[in-house]
Amino acid sequence: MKLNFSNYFRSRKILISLALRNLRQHRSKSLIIASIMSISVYVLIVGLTTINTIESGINKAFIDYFTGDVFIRANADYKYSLLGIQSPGGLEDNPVLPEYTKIFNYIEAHPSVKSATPYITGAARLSFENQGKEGQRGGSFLIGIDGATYYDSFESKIVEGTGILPDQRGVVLSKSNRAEIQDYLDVEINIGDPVTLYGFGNGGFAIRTVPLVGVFEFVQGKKEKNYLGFIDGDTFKDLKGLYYVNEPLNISEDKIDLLDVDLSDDAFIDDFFSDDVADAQNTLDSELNLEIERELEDSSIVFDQIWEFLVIHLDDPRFARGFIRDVNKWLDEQGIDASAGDWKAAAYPMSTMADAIRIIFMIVVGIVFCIAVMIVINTLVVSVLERTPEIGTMRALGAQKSFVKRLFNYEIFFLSLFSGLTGLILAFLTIFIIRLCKIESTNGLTFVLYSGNYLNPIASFSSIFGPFITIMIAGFVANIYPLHLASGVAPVVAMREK
Amino acid sequence: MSIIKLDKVVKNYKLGSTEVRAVKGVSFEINKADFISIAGPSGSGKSTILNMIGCIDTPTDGSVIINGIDTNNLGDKALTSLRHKELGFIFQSFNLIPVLNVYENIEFPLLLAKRKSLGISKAEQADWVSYLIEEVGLTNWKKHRSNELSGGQRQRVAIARALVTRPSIVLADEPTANLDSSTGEVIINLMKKINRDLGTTFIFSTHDSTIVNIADHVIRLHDGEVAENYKRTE
Repeated sequence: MKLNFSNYFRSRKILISLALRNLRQHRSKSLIIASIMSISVYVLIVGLTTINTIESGINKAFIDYFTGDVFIRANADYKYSLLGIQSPGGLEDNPVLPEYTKIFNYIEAHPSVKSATPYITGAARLSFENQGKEGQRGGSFLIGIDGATYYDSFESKIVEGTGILPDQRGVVLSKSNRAEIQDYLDVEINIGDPVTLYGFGNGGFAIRTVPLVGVFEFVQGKKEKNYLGFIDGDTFKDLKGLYYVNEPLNISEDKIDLLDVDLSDDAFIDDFFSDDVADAQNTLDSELNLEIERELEDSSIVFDQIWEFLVIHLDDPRFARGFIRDVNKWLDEQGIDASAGDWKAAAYPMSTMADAIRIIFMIVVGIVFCIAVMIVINTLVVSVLERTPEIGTMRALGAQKSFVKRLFNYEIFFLSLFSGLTGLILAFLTIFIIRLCKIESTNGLTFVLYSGNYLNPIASFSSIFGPFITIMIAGFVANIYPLHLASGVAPVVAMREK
Repeated sequence: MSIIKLDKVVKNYKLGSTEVRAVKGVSFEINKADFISIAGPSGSGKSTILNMIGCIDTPTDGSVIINGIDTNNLGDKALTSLRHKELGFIFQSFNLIPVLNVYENIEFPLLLAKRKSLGISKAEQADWVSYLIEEVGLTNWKKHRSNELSGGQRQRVAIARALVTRPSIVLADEPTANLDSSTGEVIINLMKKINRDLGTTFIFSTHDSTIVNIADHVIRLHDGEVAENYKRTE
């Protein structure tokens, strides 16, 4: 049987031609609809690209420099992350990861794991009292690391001195943190300078002095600003009194007497920053440290096994979700009261910033989108009403309802396509201009958000085609009611046109 | 031989809460190749009857039979097919599709059906459209759009369009109402010529007595009823 398609294609051709000519004929309405749709696509693409860039910036900054792809922590009744306790006014310290060695051995042997390293995190005040400006201290967020494994997991560029070597005691400050402290305290800080750390943990108030062994900057750029420092894990455990968590240490009475300061609440607060405490503590330090070390040697606790977190880099981060599921299953089976989470959980609440921005953006876009669709529906309805005699004529001449529907569908298709492409081109131009403008990050927040020194938005497949497809669908949705009206036009209307 | 039969056709309209009886039990028959005028003053029911014959309106009661098919039993799709196959329309306001040129306007009804159902090849289709354009005297205007044509030229396009599917019946609702008298006469004569040449049944409504006189068969309506029904050849 010979099929004759020529009239089919001619019919399609005339439909397309009719649709395009109608759009031109009713150009004012076409322009209104096209403008609304183009702006919608433009806003969606630029907005989503910006949000994706921010999200990717946050993601990269945290995964590459802080959280890894996956982290493991002890379960707790309260919410906490690598950044500490998240409950308002919460004074609890991060809980210790139970059965650390068992977990570490399992993770290290896992075929998907690229590297793993433990953390202890918290804040401390730093004092550089060798500068003769006693009593002045700068605050820092410290990460207690294991020098033997940390540098296999995270890149950081040591610009002076060294990193924290295995079994070494010391502090490594970020370049920007050192600069900030230098400015704030009006001192010069050099490698080898003693750094006195003031901390408060499970064991109460503690002071430790270690040397500054290095200064680092993140590989990403020069503009970073942060208040970060790395410290050897053992010193940080001392500072946080982590050995008290599992088993109290027996410190001799005479050493306890050395801590003869008024520790009543009010006096404690007053004394916290007083120089008397610092002096007393400095005197106490060496003797007390020796006592603690002796005690720890006799203790059943293995000091090396006390960590708060284990952060993990995977060979392929795309499989992080599956890996987390496997690890949590294993932890359950082993009866270990800990769980694995992704970088977002590790960096909470900072990691939720992009989600919050996205949610706010989507709500605003949703509202604007509904208004836009209503305007488009209204304009299309007016167009149908104006063209009622023309539709009636087509129907009288033998056009089925399906023909009328196809005609209007073609019109909205071309209108959406044209608008989508216009919005897309404008969005690309804007993104291109933003990239050309090289908008610099001016502070730590924008450095993280931009994922570097400059805002460098990169449009992803989903941020381009998502809005494009959305506007095509919105066009067809907006066309449903006008289409219903158009196909309902009775052919007798043609006769009434006088 | 009867091509159209109206049997006790009634058409009522709702006008607010009032029901208006536009056609009151009209019955008549029209033979193939007739050139018929449905005449009468405004409000006599001419257009309503024409609409029912044209299958674009349905009777409240009674039956309209086209080529032996009772249109009362047909749904929208079948009525549309019947209109496309058997009926051609000439409107008072020409009703050309503004974005199409003369050739495309005339060709348009052919594109609404599969060529297989039309039984002609692509070349025959093009020849037929060109022939009709020539017949209505618009060969030099075939690339022009309707807004570039005079009223008479537009109505010629409408006539060619009405004939392009080779319908057995052409309905014309006051085809000369928007034309001056001389152009109106030319249009009626053109319709008459095609009626003779192609054997197409022409039914036109008018209240213009000079045009009524050209018709072979006159059905005169008054207040929704047939006042006169006569054939000149008789």
